[in-house]
Amino acid sequence: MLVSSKRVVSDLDPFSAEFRSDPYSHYEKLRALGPIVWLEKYDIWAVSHHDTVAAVLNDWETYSNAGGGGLANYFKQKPWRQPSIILEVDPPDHQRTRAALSRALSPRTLKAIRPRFEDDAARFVDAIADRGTFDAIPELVTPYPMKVFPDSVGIEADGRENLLVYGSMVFGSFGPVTPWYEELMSRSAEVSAWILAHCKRDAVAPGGVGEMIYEAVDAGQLTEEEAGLLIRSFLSAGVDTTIDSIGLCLRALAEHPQQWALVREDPSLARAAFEEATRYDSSSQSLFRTTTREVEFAGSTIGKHEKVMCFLGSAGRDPARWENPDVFDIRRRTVGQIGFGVGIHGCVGQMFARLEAEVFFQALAQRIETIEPAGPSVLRLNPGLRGLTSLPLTMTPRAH
Amino acid sequence: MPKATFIGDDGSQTTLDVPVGRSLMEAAVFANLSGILGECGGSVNCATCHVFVESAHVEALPPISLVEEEMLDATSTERQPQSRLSCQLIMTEALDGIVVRLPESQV
Repeated sequence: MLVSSKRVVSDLDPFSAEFRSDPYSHYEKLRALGPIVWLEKYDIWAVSHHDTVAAVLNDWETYSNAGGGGLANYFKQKPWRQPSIILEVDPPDHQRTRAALSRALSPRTLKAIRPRFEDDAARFVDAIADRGTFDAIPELVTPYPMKVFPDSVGIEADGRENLLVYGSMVFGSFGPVTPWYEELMSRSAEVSAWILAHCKRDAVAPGGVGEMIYEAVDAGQLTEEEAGLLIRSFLSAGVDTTIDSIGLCLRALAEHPQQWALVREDPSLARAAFEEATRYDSSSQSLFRTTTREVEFAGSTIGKHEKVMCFLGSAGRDPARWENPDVFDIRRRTVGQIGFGVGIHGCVGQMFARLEAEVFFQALAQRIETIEPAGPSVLRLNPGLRGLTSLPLTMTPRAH
Repeated sequence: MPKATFIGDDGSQTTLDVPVGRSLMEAAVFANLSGILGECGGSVNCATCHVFVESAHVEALPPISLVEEEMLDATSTERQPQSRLSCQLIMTEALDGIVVRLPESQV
Protein backbone atom coordinates (compact mmCIF):
# COMPACT_ATOMS: atom_id res chain seq x y z
CA MET A 1 0.00 0.00 0.00
CA LEU A 2 1.07 3.52 -0.67
CA VAL A 3 0.27 4.77 2.79
CA SER A 4 2.99 2.80 4.51
CA SER A 5 5.61 4.65 2.50
CA LYS A 6 4.45 7.88 4.16
CA ARG A 7 5.23 6.61 7.62
CA VAL A 8 7.81 8.75 9.37
CA VAL A 9 10.13 6.48 11.34
CA SER A 10 12.38 7.40 14.26
CA ASP A 11 14.87 5.39 16.28
CA LEU A 12 14.31 7.47 19.43
CA ASP A 13 13.82 5.37 22.57
CA PRO A 14 11.45 7.21 24.92
CA PHE A 15 12.29 4.82 27.76
CA SER A 16 16.06 5.24 27.56
CA ALA A 17 17.83 7.00 30.42
CA GLU A 18 19.18 9.51 27.91
CA PHE A 19 15.72 10.44 26.64
CA ARG A 20 14.17 10.63 30.06
CA SER A 21 16.89 12.71 31.62
CA ASP A 22 16.30 15.39 28.98
CA PRO A 23 12.91 14.71 27.42
CA TYR A 24 12.27 18.23 26.19
CA SER A 25 15.07 18.36 23.63
CA HIS A 26 13.93 14.98 22.35
CA TYR A 27 10.34 16.17 22.12
CA GLU A 28 11.52 19.03 19.96
CA LYS A 29 13.03 16.49 17.55
CA LEU A 30 9.87 14.39 17.60
CA ARG A 31 7.60 17.36 16.93
CA ALA A 32 9.79 18.41 14.01
CA LEU A 33 9.39 14.97 12.43
CA GLY A 34 5.66 15.45 11.94
CA PRO A 35 2.23 14.94 13.50
CA ILE A 36 2.69 11.20 14.02
CA VAL A 37 5.89 9.18 14.11
CA TRP A 38 6.62 5.46 14.17
CA LEU A 39 9.07 4.50 16.93
CA GLU A 40 10.74 1.43 15.48
CA LYS A 41 12.41 0.31 18.67
CA TYR A 42 9.01 -0.64 20.16
CA ASP A 43 6.77 -0.76 17.07
CA ILE A 44 4.53 1.97 18.39
CA TRP A 45 3.20 5.29 17.12
CA ALA A 46 3.92 8.57 18.88
CA VAL A 47 2.12 11.91 18.90
CA SER A 48 3.80 14.90 20.49
CA HIS A 49 1.91 18.10 19.54
CA HIS A 50 -0.76 19.63 21.75
CA ASP A 51 -3.44 19.27 19.08
CA THR A 52 -2.66 15.69 18.11
CA VAL A 53 -2.29 14.48 21.71
CA ALA A 54 -5.62 16.09 22.63
CA ALA A 55 -7.28 14.65 19.50
CA VAL A 56 -6.21 11.11 20.40
CA LEU A 57 -7.17 11.41 24.07
CA ASN A 58 -10.57 12.89 23.25
CA ASP A 59 -11.51 10.06 20.84
CA TRP A 60 -11.88 7.11 23.21
CA GLU A 61 -13.91 5.11 20.68
CA THR A 62 -10.92 4.89 18.35
CA TYR A 63 -8.10 5.24 20.86
CA SER A 64 -9.13 2.99 23.70
CA ASN A 65 -7.63 2.71 27.15
CA ALA A 66 -8.87 -0.85 27.52
CA GLY A 67 -5.68 -1.88 25.72
CA GLY A 68 -3.68 -0.62 28.70
CA GLY A 69 -2.24 2.77 29.56
CA GLY A 70 1.33 1.59 29.08
CA LEU A 71 3.48 -0.08 26.47
CA ALA A 72 1.96 -3.51 27.07
CA ASN A 73 -0.93 -4.28 24.69
CA TYR A 74 -3.81 -5.80 26.66
CA PHE A 75 -5.60 -6.58 23.42
CA LYS A 76 -2.79 -9.03 22.70
CA GLN A 77 -1.28 -10.03 26.04
CA LYS A 78 -2.42 -10.72 29.58
CA PRO A 79 -2.27 -7.77 32.02
CA TRP A 80 -0.07 -8.06 35.13
CA ARG A 81 -3.05 -7.50 37.39
CA GLN A 82 -6.83 -7.44 37.11
CA PRO A 83 -7.39 -4.33 34.97
CA SER A 84 -8.60 -1.15 36.61
CA ILE A 85 -12.36 -0.78 36.32
CA ILE A 86 -12.08 2.95 35.73
CA LEU A 87 -8.83 3.51 33.84
CA GLU A 88 -8.56 0.42 31.69
CA VAL A 89 -12.17 0.29 30.57
CA ASP A 90 -14.29 2.20 28.05
CA PRO A 91 -17.89 3.42 28.20
CA PRO A 92 -20.54 2.38 28.99
CA ASP A 93 -18.99 0.54 31.97
CA HIS A 94 -16.62 3.40 32.57
CA GLN A 95 -19.32 6.01 33.16
CA ARG A 96 -20.71 4.47 36.30
CA THR A 97 -17.38 3.91 38.03
CA ARG A 98 -16.13 7.30 36.94
CA ALA A 99 -19.23 8.98 38.32
CA ALA A 100 -18.75 7.37 41.72
CA LEU A 101 -15.09 8.37 41.89
CA SER A 102 -15.67 11.88 40.56
CA ARG A 103 -18.17 12.50 43.28
CA ALA A 104 -15.80 11.28 45.96
CA LEU A 105 -13.13 13.65 44.63
CA SER A 106 -15.41 16.63 43.98
CA PRO A 107 -15.17 20.27 45.08
CA ARG A 108 -17.67 19.58 47.86
CA THR A 109 -15.58 16.77 49.39
CA LEU A 110 -12.40 18.77 48.99
CA LYS A 111 -13.83 21.85 50.65
CA ALA A 112 -14.44 19.74 53.75
CA ILE A 113 -10.96 18.21 53.65
CA ARG A 114 -9.08 21.45 53.07
CA PRO A 115 -8.62 22.55 56.72
CA ARG A 116 -6.92 19.24 57.57
CA PHE A 117 -4.57 19.63 54.61
CA GLU A 118 -3.72 23.13 55.83
CA ASP A 119 -2.86 21.92 59.32
CA ASP A 120 -0.67 19.14 58.01
CA ALA A 121 1.07 21.34 55.44
CA ALA A 122 1.85 23.97 58.08
CA ARG A 123 3.34 21.32 60.35
CA PHE A 124 5.58 19.83 57.66
CA VAL A 125 6.78 23.27 56.57
CA ASP A 126 7.42 24.31 60.18
CA ALA A 127 9.59 21.25 60.64
CA ILE A 128 12.02 22.34 57.90
CA ALA A 129 11.70 26.12 58.07
CA ASP A 130 14.91 26.62 60.03
CA ARG A 131 16.87 23.73 58.59
CA GLY A 132 18.84 25.76 56.05
CA THR A 133 20.08 23.21 53.52
CA PHE A 134 18.33 19.86 53.26
CA ASP A 135 17.01 17.33 50.77
CA ALA A 136 13.46 18.43 50.10
CA ILE A 137 12.20 15.18 48.54
CA PRO A 138 12.59 12.81 51.52
CA GLU A 139 12.21 15.47 54.19
CA LEU A 140 9.37 17.64 52.94
CA VAL A 141 7.80 16.64 49.63
CA THR A 142 7.28 12.93 50.32
CA PRO A 143 5.98 13.03 53.90
CA TYR A 144 3.15 15.47 53.11
CA PRO A 145 1.19 13.46 50.49
CA MET A 146 2.05 10.29 52.41
CA LYS A 147 0.16 11.80 55.33
CA VAL A 148 -2.75 13.69 53.82
CA PHE A 149 -3.68 11.31 51.03
CA PRO A 150 -4.03 8.01 52.93
CA ASP A 151 -5.59 9.97 55.81
CA SER A 152 -8.25 11.24 53.43
CA VAL A 153 -8.96 7.81 51.98
CA GLY A 154 -9.01 6.28 55.46
CA ILE A 155 -5.93 4.02 55.38
CA GLU A 156 -4.23 3.08 58.64
CA ALA A 157 -0.83 4.58 59.41
CA ASP A 158 1.09 1.29 59.58
CA GLY A 159 2.60 -0.03 56.37
CA ARG A 160 1.98 3.01 54.22
CA GLU A 161 5.37 2.54 52.56
CA ASN A 162 3.59 -0.18 50.58
CA LEU A 163 1.77 2.60 48.74
CA LEU A 164 5.04 3.85 47.27
CA VAL A 165 6.16 0.40 46.21
CA TYR A 166 2.77 -0.36 44.67
CA GLY A 167 2.74 2.97 42.86
CA SER A 168 6.16 2.15 41.42
CA MET A 169 4.79 -1.15 40.12
CA VAL A 170 1.71 0.46 38.58
CA PHE A 171 3.71 3.12 36.78
CA GLY A 172 6.66 0.82 36.15
CA SER A 173 4.33 -1.39 34.15
CA PHE A 174 3.94 1.48 31.66
CA GLY A 175 7.37 0.77 30.20
CA PRO A 176 9.27 -2.18 28.76
CA VAL A 177 10.14 -5.16 30.92
CA THR A 178 13.65 -4.50 32.21
CA PRO A 179 15.79 -6.02 34.98
CA TRP A 180 14.76 -3.03 37.15
CA TYR A 181 11.09 -3.84 36.60
CA GLU A 182 11.53 -7.57 37.19
CA GLU A 183 13.33 -6.86 40.45
CA LEU A 184 10.55 -4.51 41.53
CA MET A 185 7.86 -7.02 40.60
CA SER A 186 9.50 -9.74 42.70
CA ARG A 187 7.59 -8.17 45.61
CA SER A 188 4.35 -7.92 43.65
CA ALA A 189 2.40 -10.65 45.47
CA GLU A 190 3.16 -9.38 48.96
CA VAL A 191 2.58 -5.69 48.19
CA SER A 192 -0.58 -6.31 46.13
CA ALA A 193 -1.97 -8.36 49.01
CA TRP A 194 -1.41 -5.47 51.43
CA ILE A 195 -3.10 -3.05 49.02
CA LEU A 196 -6.12 -5.30 48.42
CA ALA A 197 -6.56 -5.90 52.14
CA HIS A 198 -6.64 -2.15 52.70
CA CYS A 199 -9.28 -1.64 50.03
CA LYS A 200 -11.85 -3.69 51.90
CA ARG A 201 -14.86 -2.14 53.59
CA ASP A 202 -13.77 -2.96 57.12
CA ALA A 203 -10.26 -1.63 56.47
CA VAL A 204 -11.20 1.95 55.53
CA ALA A 205 -11.69 4.38 58.38
CA PRO A 206 -15.04 6.13 58.85
CA GLY A 207 -15.38 9.63 57.44
CA GLY A 208 -12.94 9.13 54.57
CA VAL A 209 -13.22 8.95 50.82
CA GLY A 210 -12.99 5.16 51.02
CA GLU A 211 -16.15 5.06 53.06
CA MET A 212 -17.87 7.29 50.47
CA ILE A 213 -17.16 4.66 47.83
CA TYR A 214 -18.77 1.99 50.00
CA GLU A 215 -21.77 4.29 50.46
CA ALA A 216 -22.20 4.08 46.68
CA VAL A 217 -22.42 0.30 47.14
CA ASP A 218 -25.11 0.73 49.78
CA ALA A 219 -26.98 3.03 47.39
CA GLY A 220 -26.92 0.31 44.75
CA GLN A 221 -24.56 2.15 42.38
CA LEU A 222 -21.57 -0.19 42.68
CA THR A 223 -20.90 -3.75 43.73
CA GLU A 224 -18.74 -4.52 46.76
CA GLU A 225 -15.98 -5.81 44.49
CA GLU A 226 -16.10 -2.68 42.33
CA ALA A 227 -15.75 -0.48 45.39
CA GLY A 228 -12.60 -2.33 46.40
CA LEU A 229 -11.14 -1.94 42.92
CA LEU A 230 -11.94 1.79 42.86
CA ILE A 231 -10.18 2.28 46.16
CA ARG A 232 -7.28 0.36 44.65
CA SER A 233 -7.28 3.02 41.92
CA PHE A 234 -6.87 5.74 44.55
CA LEU A 235 -4.03 3.85 46.13
CA SER A 236 -2.38 3.15 42.77
CA ALA A 237 -2.38 6.65 41.44
CA GLY A 238 -2.78 9.00 44.36
CA VAL A 239 0.56 9.11 46.11
CA ASP A 240 3.57 8.89 43.77
CA THR A 241 1.90 11.22 41.32
CA THR A 242 1.44 14.05 43.79
CA ILE A 243 4.86 13.57 45.36
CA ASP A 244 6.39 13.84 41.89
CA SER A 245 4.21 16.77 40.81
CA ILE A 246 4.85 18.79 43.95
CA GLY A 247 8.56 17.96 43.77
CA LEU A 248 8.85 19.14 40.17
CA CYS A 249 6.90 22.31 40.94
CA LEU A 250 9.15 23.02 43.92
CA ARG A 251 12.22 22.56 41.74
CA ALA A 252 10.81 24.92 39.12
CA LEU A 253 10.16 27.55 41.79
CA ALA A 254 13.64 27.11 43.28
CA GLU A 255 15.17 27.53 39.82
CA HIS A 256 13.05 30.62 39.09
CA PRO A 257 13.42 32.88 42.14
CA GLN A 258 11.34 35.66 40.62
CA GLN A 259 8.43 33.28 40.20
CA TRP A 260 8.83 32.10 43.80
CA ALA A 261 8.82 35.75 44.91
CA LEU A 262 5.43 36.18 43.24
CA VAL A 263 3.97 33.27 45.22
CA ARG A 264 5.57 34.45 48.44
CA GLU A 265 4.12 37.93 48.02
CA ASP A 266 0.70 36.63 46.97
CA PRO A 267 0.07 33.07 48.18
CA SER A 268 -3.20 32.99 46.23
CA LEU A 269 -0.94 32.37 43.20
CA ALA A 270 0.00 28.95 44.60
CA ARG A 271 -2.65 27.17 42.58
CA ALA A 272 -1.61 28.93 39.39
CA ALA A 273 2.03 28.03 40.07
CA PHE A 274 1.14 24.37 40.32
CA GLU A 275 -0.96 24.53 37.17
CA GLU A 276 1.90 26.10 35.24
CA ALA A 277 4.32 23.51 36.65
CA THR A 278 1.99 20.80 35.37
CA ARG A 279 2.25 22.27 31.88
CA TYR A 280 5.98 22.97 32.16
CA ASP A 281 7.14 19.72 33.74
CA SER A 282 4.33 17.24 34.34
CA SER A 283 4.88 14.12 36.41
CA SER A 284 2.93 12.32 33.68
CA GLN A 285 5.03 12.76 30.59
CA SER A 286 3.40 10.13 28.43
CA LEU A 287 0.70 7.52 28.27
CA PHE A 288 -0.67 5.14 25.70
CA ARG A 289 -3.86 4.43 23.85
CA THR A 290 -4.59 1.39 21.68
CA THR A 291 -6.59 1.59 18.47
CA THR A 292 -9.86 -0.31 18.22
CA ARG A 293 -9.85 -0.14 14.40
CA GLU A 294 -7.70 0.89 11.46
CA VAL A 295 -7.68 4.67 11.29
CA GLU A 296 -6.22 7.45 9.14
CA PHE A 297 -4.33 9.98 11.23
CA ALA A 298 -2.65 13.02 9.71
CA GLY A 299 -1.75 11.15 6.53
CA SER A 300 -0.64 7.89 8.17
CA THR A 301 -2.63 4.69 8.50
CA ILE A 302 -2.66 3.27 12.00
CA GLY A 303 -3.61 -0.41 12.09
CA LYS A 304 -6.13 -1.98 14.44
CA HIS A 305 -4.86 -2.78 17.97
CA GLU A 306 -1.73 -0.67 17.61
CA LYS A 307 -0.27 1.38 20.43
CA VAL A 308 -0.13 5.16 20.25
CA MET A 309 2.17 6.91 22.73
CA CYS A 310 0.86 10.34 23.68
CA PHE A 311 3.46 12.78 25.00
CA LEU A 312 1.65 15.04 27.45
CA GLY A 313 4.98 16.57 28.42
CA SER A 314 5.64 17.56 24.83
CA ALA A 315 2.13 18.98 24.37
CA GLY A 316 2.91 21.36 27.23
CA ARG A 317 5.98 22.63 25.36
CA ASP A 318 4.44 22.81 21.89
CA PRO A 319 5.15 26.29 20.47
CA ALA A 320 2.09 25.96 18.23
CA ARG A 321 -0.04 26.07 21.39
CA TRP A 322 2.06 28.01 23.92
CA GLU A 323 3.91 31.27 23.67
CA ASN A 324 7.50 30.89 24.91
CA PRO A 325 6.73 27.31 25.95
CA ASP A 326 10.08 26.77 27.67
CA VAL A 327 9.54 29.71 30.01
CA PHE A 328 8.11 28.92 33.48
CA ASP A 329 5.63 31.73 34.01
CA ILE A 330 3.05 31.27 36.75
CA ARG A 331 0.97 34.19 35.46
CA ARG A 332 0.47 32.46 32.13
CA ARG A 333 -3.08 31.56 31.13
CA THR A 334 -2.80 27.78 31.48
CA VAL A 335 -6.37 26.79 30.75
CA GLY A 336 -6.31 23.92 28.29
CA GLN A 337 -3.00 22.51 29.52
CA ILE A 338 -3.20 18.71 29.44
CA GLY A 339 -0.59 17.67 31.97
CA PHE A 340 -3.36 15.78 33.79
CA GLY A 341 -4.52 14.23 30.53
CA VAL A 342 -7.85 15.12 28.96
CA GLY A 343 -11.04 13.35 27.95
CA ILE A 344 -12.87 10.58 29.75
CA HIS A 345 -9.66 9.18 31.23
CA GLY A 346 -8.26 12.53 32.32
CA CYS A 347 -6.85 12.28 35.84
CA VAL A 348 -9.83 11.68 38.10
CA GLY A 349 -7.85 12.88 41.11
CA GLN A 350 -6.73 16.14 39.54
CA MET A 351 -8.79 18.30 41.89
CA PHE A 352 -7.34 16.43 44.83
CA ALA A 353 -3.84 17.00 43.47
CA ARG A 354 -4.49 20.70 42.90
CA LEU A 355 -5.76 21.12 46.42
CA GLU A 356 -2.83 19.26 47.97
CA ALA A 357 -0.37 21.36 46.00
CA GLU A 358 -2.14 24.67 46.49
CA VAL A 359 -2.23 24.19 50.24
CA PHE A 360 1.40 23.04 50.31
CA PHE A 361 2.78 26.01 48.38
CA GLN A 362 0.64 28.45 50.35
CA ALA A 363 2.05 27.07 53.58
CA LEU A 364 5.53 27.42 52.15
CA ALA A 365 4.85 31.00 51.05
CA GLN A 366 3.71 31.94 54.53
CA ARG A 367 6.80 30.58 56.23
CA ILE A 368 9.70 30.70 53.76
CA GLU A 369 11.50 33.71 52.30
CA THR A 370 13.95 32.26 49.80
CA ILE A 371 14.35 28.86 48.12
CA GLU A 372 17.55 28.09 46.25
CA PRO A 373 18.98 24.94 44.67
CA ALA A 374 21.82 23.56 46.79
CA GLY A 375 23.08 20.94 44.37
CA PRO A 376 21.93 18.85 41.44
CA SER A 377 18.56 17.14 41.74
CA VAL A 378 18.23 13.45 40.91
CA LEU A 379 15.52 12.02 38.66
CA ARG A 380 13.45 9.03 39.66
CA LEU A 381 13.67 6.16 37.22
CA ASN A 382 10.16 5.04 36.57
CA PRO A 383 8.91 4.72 32.99
CA GLY A 384 5.40 5.87 33.85
CA LEU A 385 6.22 8.90 35.96
CA ARG A 386 8.67 11.76 36.03
CA GLY A 387 9.78 12.81 39.46
CA LEU A 388 12.74 13.37 41.73
CA THR A 389 14.40 11.25 44.39
CA SER A 390 16.56 14.09 45.59
CA LEU A 391 16.24 17.88 45.54
CA PRO A 392 18.83 19.62 47.70
CA LEU A 393 17.58 23.10 48.58
CA THR A 394 18.55 25.96 50.85
CA MET A 395 15.60 27.77 52.41
CA THR A 396 15.53 30.82 54.63
CA PRO A 397 12.52 31.46 56.86
CA ARG A 398 10.48 34.63 56.65
CA ALA A 399 11.05 37.19 59.39
CA HIS A 400 8.20 37.11 61.87
CA MET B 1 -22.77 34.59 15.77
CA PRO B 2 -24.86 33.30 18.71
CA LYS B 3 -24.50 35.15 21.97
CA ALA B 4 -24.40 34.06 25.59
CA THR B 5 -24.78 36.29 28.64
CA PHE B 6 -23.03 35.56 31.92
CA ILE B 7 -24.27 37.18 35.13
CA GLY B 8 -21.60 37.28 37.80
CA ASP B 9 -22.25 36.59 41.46
CA ASP B 10 -21.92 40.36 41.94
CA GLY B 11 -24.61 41.04 39.33
CA SER B 12 -22.26 42.18 36.55
CA GLN B 13 -23.35 41.11 33.06
CA THR B 14 -21.10 40.09 30.20
CA THR B 15 -22.37 39.12 26.77
CA LEU B 16 -20.02 37.12 24.55
CA ASP B 17 -20.13 35.96 20.95
CA VAL B 18 -19.81 32.18 21.09
CA PRO B 19 -19.18 30.28 17.85
CA VAL B 20 -21.41 27.26 17.23
CA GLY B 21 -19.60 24.20 18.55
CA ARG B 22 -17.72 26.00 21.32
CA SER B 23 -18.63 25.41 24.95
CA LEU B 24 -19.79 28.23 27.20
CA MET B 25 -16.97 27.31 29.57
CA GLU B 26 -14.35 27.84 26.86
CA ALA B 27 -15.94 31.09 25.76
CA ALA B 28 -15.93 32.42 29.32
CA VAL B 29 -12.41 31.29 30.08
CA PHE B 30 -10.99 32.77 26.88
CA ALA B 31 -12.73 36.05 27.65
CA ASN B 32 -11.00 36.01 31.07
CA LEU B 33 -14.33 36.05 32.83
CA SER B 34 -13.87 35.56 36.55
CA GLY B 35 -16.18 33.06 38.19
CA ILE B 36 -15.61 30.19 35.76
CA LEU B 37 -12.41 28.18 36.14
CA GLY B 38 -12.76 25.14 33.88
CA GLU B 39 -9.61 23.65 35.35
CA CYS B 40 -9.95 20.21 33.76
CA GLY B 41 -10.33 21.69 30.30
CA GLY B 42 -13.80 20.29 29.68
CA SER B 43 -13.50 16.65 30.75
CA VAL B 44 -16.38 16.79 33.28
CA ASN B 45 -13.77 16.28 35.90
CA CYS B 46 -13.59 19.29 38.13
CA ALA B 47 -17.03 20.92 38.40
CA THR B 48 -15.42 24.38 38.36
CA CYS B 49 -17.53 25.67 35.45
CA HIS B 50 -20.83 25.35 37.29
CA VAL B 51 -23.56 27.75 36.08
CA PHE B 52 -27.30 28.28 36.59
CA VAL B 53 -29.21 28.51 33.33
CA GLU B 54 -31.56 31.48 33.75
CA SER B 55 -33.12 31.77 30.31
CA ALA B 56 -35.88 29.60 28.86
CA HIS B 57 -33.55 27.36 26.87
CA VAL B 58 -34.26 24.17 28.76
CA GLU B 59 -35.58 22.33 25.68
CA ALA B 60 -32.51 23.21 23.66
CA LEU B 61 -29.98 22.10 26.28
CA PRO B 62 -28.16 18.81 25.80
CA PRO B 63 -29.16 16.06 28.25
CA ILE B 64 -27.21 15.70 31.49
CA SER B 65 -24.86 12.70 31.34
CA LEU B 66 -24.37 10.37 34.28
CA VAL B 67 -20.98 11.84 35.12
CA GLU B 68 -22.23 15.43 34.89
CA GLU B 69 -25.13 14.41 37.12
CA GLU B 70 -22.73 13.17 39.81
CA MET B 71 -20.50 16.21 39.53
CA LEU B 72 -23.48 18.54 39.82
CA ASP B 73 -24.41 16.81 43.05
CA ALA B 74 -21.06 17.74 44.50
CA THR B 75 -20.36 21.28 43.33
CA SER B 76 -18.82 23.86 45.62
CA THR B 77 -21.97 26.00 45.52
CA GLU B 78 -25.15 24.03 46.16
CA ARG B 79 -26.87 22.62 43.10
CA GLN B 80 -30.15 24.14 41.95
CA PRO B 81 -32.68 22.78 39.44
CA GLN B 82 -31.16 24.90 36.66
CA SER B 83 -27.55 23.90 37.44
CA ARG B 84 -25.29 22.75 34.59
CA LEU B 85 -21.59 22.40 33.91
CA SER B 86 -20.91 24.96 31.22
CA CYS B 87 -18.27 22.77 29.55
CA GLN B 88 -21.20 20.59 28.50
CA LEU B 89 -23.20 23.50 27.08
CA ILE B 90 -22.01 23.54 23.48
CA MET B 91 -23.30 26.54 21.57
CA THR B 92 -25.92 25.91 18.87
CA GLU B 93 -28.17 28.30 16.94
CA ALA B 94 -30.99 27.20 19.24
CA LEU B 95 -29.01 28.35 22.30
CA ASP B 96 -28.51 31.87 20.93
CA GLY B 97 -29.29 34.36 23.68
CA ILE B 98 -28.76 31.92 26.55
CA VAL B 99 -28.32 33.57 29.95
CA VAL B 100 -26.41 31.87 32.74
CA ARG B 101 -25.71 33.01 36.28
CA LEU B 102 -22.43 32.18 38.00
CA PRO B 103 -22.30 30.63 41.46
CA GLU B 104 -20.74 32.17 44.52
CA SER B 105 -17.77 29.80 44.42
CA GLN B 106 -16.32 27.08 42.18
CA VAL B 107 -13.77 25.48 44.51
